[in-house]
Amino acid sequence: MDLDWYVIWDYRADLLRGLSLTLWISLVGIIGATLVGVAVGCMRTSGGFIAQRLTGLYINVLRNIPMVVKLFFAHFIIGIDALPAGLLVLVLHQSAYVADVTAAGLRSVPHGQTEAALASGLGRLQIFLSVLLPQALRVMIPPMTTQYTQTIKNSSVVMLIALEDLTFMTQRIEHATFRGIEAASTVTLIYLAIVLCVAAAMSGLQRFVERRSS
Amino acid sequence: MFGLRVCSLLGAAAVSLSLFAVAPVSAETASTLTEIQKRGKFLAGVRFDLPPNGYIDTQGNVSGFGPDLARRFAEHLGVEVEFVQVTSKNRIPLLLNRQIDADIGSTTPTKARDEVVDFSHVYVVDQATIMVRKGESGDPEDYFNSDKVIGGLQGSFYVDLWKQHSPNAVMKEYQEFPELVVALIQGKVDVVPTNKFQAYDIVEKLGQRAENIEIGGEFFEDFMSIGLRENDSKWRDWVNWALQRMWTDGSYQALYKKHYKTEPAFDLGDAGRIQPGVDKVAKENDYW
Repeated sequence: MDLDWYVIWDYRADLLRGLSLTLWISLVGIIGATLVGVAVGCMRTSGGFIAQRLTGLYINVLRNIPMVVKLFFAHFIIGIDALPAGLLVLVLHQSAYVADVTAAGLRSVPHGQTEAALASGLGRLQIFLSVLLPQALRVMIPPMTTQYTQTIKNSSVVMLIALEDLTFMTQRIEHATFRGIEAASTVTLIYLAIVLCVAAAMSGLQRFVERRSS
Repeated sequence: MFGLRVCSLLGAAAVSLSLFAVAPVSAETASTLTEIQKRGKFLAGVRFDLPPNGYIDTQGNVSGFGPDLARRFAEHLGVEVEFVQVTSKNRIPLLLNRQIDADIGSTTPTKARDEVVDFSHVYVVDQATIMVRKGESGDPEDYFNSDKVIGGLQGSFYVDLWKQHSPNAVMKEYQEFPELVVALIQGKVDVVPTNKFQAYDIVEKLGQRAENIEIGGEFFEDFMSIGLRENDSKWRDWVNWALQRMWTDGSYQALYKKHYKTEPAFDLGDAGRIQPGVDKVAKENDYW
């Protein structure tokens, strides 16, 4: 097969620009989805009746509407600018999944532990921070890694509203040079490298949490 | 555990990359003309979304100038025709991967494209124009080297064309035309360069909402050709002869007028000249 890898070098500036946007969107997406998702997940398990219903609605609505529909709604109907719209939608979309993971993690801690902590005189916040969260975290880290990986991959949807991310740049190279195989292979490896970094960081976090709790 | 995960991810990547690698071109040397005869089917790449060049009509049939031309080609080749949808993005890869025999869409024979595929004679001529919001200037020159935001489709010739006229233009490239038109209406982009046939089709489809849009002046004559695989002169010759033969008997002009509602404003052939003796059908492999 006739492959020309020099074309990637020729487009390095475009690729770097696309990479920095993808990293930026993914980072904001991961941090935002974690903050919102963990808060919603906690309310889902620990809040009152109304809070539980509202958070259930939040999770179901956001999880069941395709991300592209949400993106077009935010950008073309509400009229939010492209970058804020992309960030907002990514955070909202992934936070629904993170909320589910958080709720499942918290539910995995036996109820007897909360009762024992209450009996020993600990307050609600103390019980949550010192008893529930450390145990739930061990269970949550592997599915959270999957969610963070999804966030990175889902960030490519922003190209639909003309944001020039890494996937957008792949197509630019392909259109300009018809070197789609080289462009797609390179970008696959870049995405893989980012995902592996996240997986390594989460694996480190898992080991840290295991050590502390053993 | 992490090592195991890394191994599986690397494995997945290797499989994905091998899938990319399998796709294209074998060292096939047989002419497309022979392949079509062997297969008994002409794989025509046509637009499904670009009237009058190619579109799906209200009955769900593939219609337009490109598809009708493909039907005529298939008739003369004595084979069936199968329509494959081409878009701005996939037309060249489909051709290179041998998934279509010809791209009978609206492809401008640019030099970059000519490096990887071949082209027939120019078979449609259109004008490049701009779409703007009502009340804005319709003169394309007013937007060259201005700070206005130019909207285009990624992979479209018009993005490159505009950059030729205005190298520092601020471009926003969308993936599909509907989003691009909404972006224009909403002021997310200020100018959309496109071809005239498409601009009028969009205005017609928008109906009342087109009140906010104006079609401006022309700034380039856009020649379109049929895309064919590189270095396949037997097939390219046949396509060029077919076009000229239809031109000579008047069926080409009739088809053009039927779809574009106007006579072709150009002469077909090399430098607008029909090849002498093109109507003479040879005995072998000259299907007509």
